Amino acid sequence: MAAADSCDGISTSGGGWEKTVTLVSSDDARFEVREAAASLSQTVRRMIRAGGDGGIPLPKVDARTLSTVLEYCNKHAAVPAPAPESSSAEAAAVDLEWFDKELMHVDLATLCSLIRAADYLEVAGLLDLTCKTVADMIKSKTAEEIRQMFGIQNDFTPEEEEQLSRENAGVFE
Amino acid sequence: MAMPAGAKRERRARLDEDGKEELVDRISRLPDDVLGNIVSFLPTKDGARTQVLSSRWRPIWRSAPLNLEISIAYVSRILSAHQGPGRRFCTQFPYLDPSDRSATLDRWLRSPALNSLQVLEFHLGSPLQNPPLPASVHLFSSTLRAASFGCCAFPEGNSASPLHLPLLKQLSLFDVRISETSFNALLAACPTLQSLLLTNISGCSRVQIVSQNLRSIGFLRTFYRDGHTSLQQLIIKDAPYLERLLCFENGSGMEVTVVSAPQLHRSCIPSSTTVVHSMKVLALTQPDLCLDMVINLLKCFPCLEKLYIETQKAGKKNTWCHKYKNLIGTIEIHLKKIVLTNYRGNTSHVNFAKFFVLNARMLQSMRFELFDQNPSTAWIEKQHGLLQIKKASRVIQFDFVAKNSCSLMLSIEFAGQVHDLLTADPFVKLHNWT
Repeated sequence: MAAADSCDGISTSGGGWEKTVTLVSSDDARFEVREAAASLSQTVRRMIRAGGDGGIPLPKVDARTLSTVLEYCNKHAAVPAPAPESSSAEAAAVDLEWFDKELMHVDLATLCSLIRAADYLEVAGLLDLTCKTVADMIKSKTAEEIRQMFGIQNDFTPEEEEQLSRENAGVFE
Repeated sequence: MAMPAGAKRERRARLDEDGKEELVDRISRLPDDVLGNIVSFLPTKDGARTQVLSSRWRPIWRSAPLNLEISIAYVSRILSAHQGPGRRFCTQFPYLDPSDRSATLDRWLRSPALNSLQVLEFHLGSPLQNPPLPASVHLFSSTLRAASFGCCAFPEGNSASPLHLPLLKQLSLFDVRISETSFNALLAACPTLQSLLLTNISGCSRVQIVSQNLRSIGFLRTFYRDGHTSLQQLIIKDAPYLERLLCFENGSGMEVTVVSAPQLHRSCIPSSTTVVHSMKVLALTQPDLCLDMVINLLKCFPCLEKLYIETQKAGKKNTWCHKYKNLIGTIEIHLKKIVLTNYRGNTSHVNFAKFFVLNARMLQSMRFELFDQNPSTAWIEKQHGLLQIKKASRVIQFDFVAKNSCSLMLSIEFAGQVHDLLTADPFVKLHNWT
């Protein structure tokens, strides 16, 4: 298999061997990850297929961000396929919800790095989770409150602003 | 949601330095499609409002997939301001709307702003009339993942071209008129359907469920409609992956039948001839607690683990002792949890409960949600005493609690439980039980 060069193996708690891959961050940190977890990233999955040695380089993601992304991938890849076996699947789903919530307790700068990483690595679940987190921050706030929260400069001229408010009159109050 | 701690710190830093160092606007530097994704998660008004933030944000909303749920007065305006595609459109017409609602909706659905819609939910108003299902619904046949059709009539006869929804996972029908033939055709045209909610269906007296992927069915009948046949019988003909059946009704006479039947003793189960092994959760409302019916259902669903029953009346006798003496050994009951709502502790209800205490070997929890909101400690002691009989399972825990304000039957919220396939127990979140 073409991917063999970038794949190692580690023994799992079950005693079997699970295939792993090595990911290399922009600041040259190396992460050994289960292939199942790494494959939640479509970008990584394509690179595994393409093969190569010495690990998979991810020049757009720093070590700190990558470790959080991998924390997400490891957790989500561990969840069994949706064939709920009563209470265990239920507990897993609740646990996962908590995990996601906790993971989003970060500052804005970190959140933006995570969004960029999830976008670049194409981890759909994490991209949705992070975007939803930002959407929840925006929800029910006035334009001025949102600008203040994110540091957005209002660069409209007074004329443009007037036109905007005319266009939107009645809809957003 | 609260602002992350870092954002507060950054803003404070800016204020301390008297506006010289601005908070770095990291959000606006994200790529267009990411900003579009964020905007698509917002309610319509919040999403549209992002246009006025800055010139960077101005064009985002117009091209981000539209999430439209707003008063019908604004729908046309928003549709003309957005270039599409659409992600989600939810709309509800007022109860008394004299206009041609079906034609209005049809016009909206043809707008480019709603192209490629994934979620469509509408209710056309009064449940006493059924305007036709807008033909434009066909435009989304290759993109719809979830649909809720309310208060419309499905086209009948030769001229009707059947809907084909190959990606649809969730379907709700509220106050809909549909013939048995059309229903069967619709179900057959949704090959990936996982959850189905049927509420106040008319135009047919029974429907047959034949579905290779369906995992959850909700069935609600709240009132009788003059002049129309209303759906009374749910026949589960072939649904190998069905896990949940949530049946709620106000009146009486709802009937669940499971057909086609290899190994079951026909004599024990009138009209129910097959077994659905996948079924794990069953929720029912019964005006009178009826052990006969529940036992029949247990035979149809031998792997059932959770049973929720809400009753309204004091009930009939439920004298099970003689009739079911020989049952032990012939049916295996796998129930782990039973919840009885509006439990009165009278003979009928106690007998009902006793049957499970004696026969359900795997039972771990019986929860009694009491009809009497302020029972005395002595009353609860007595109830515990009545159930201290030869238990089939050693680990049963009895809980006597005040009734949760949220009635299963009256709660339209249960619609959400039908479609929530993530948790194995659909009522965990609703009741927030530990």
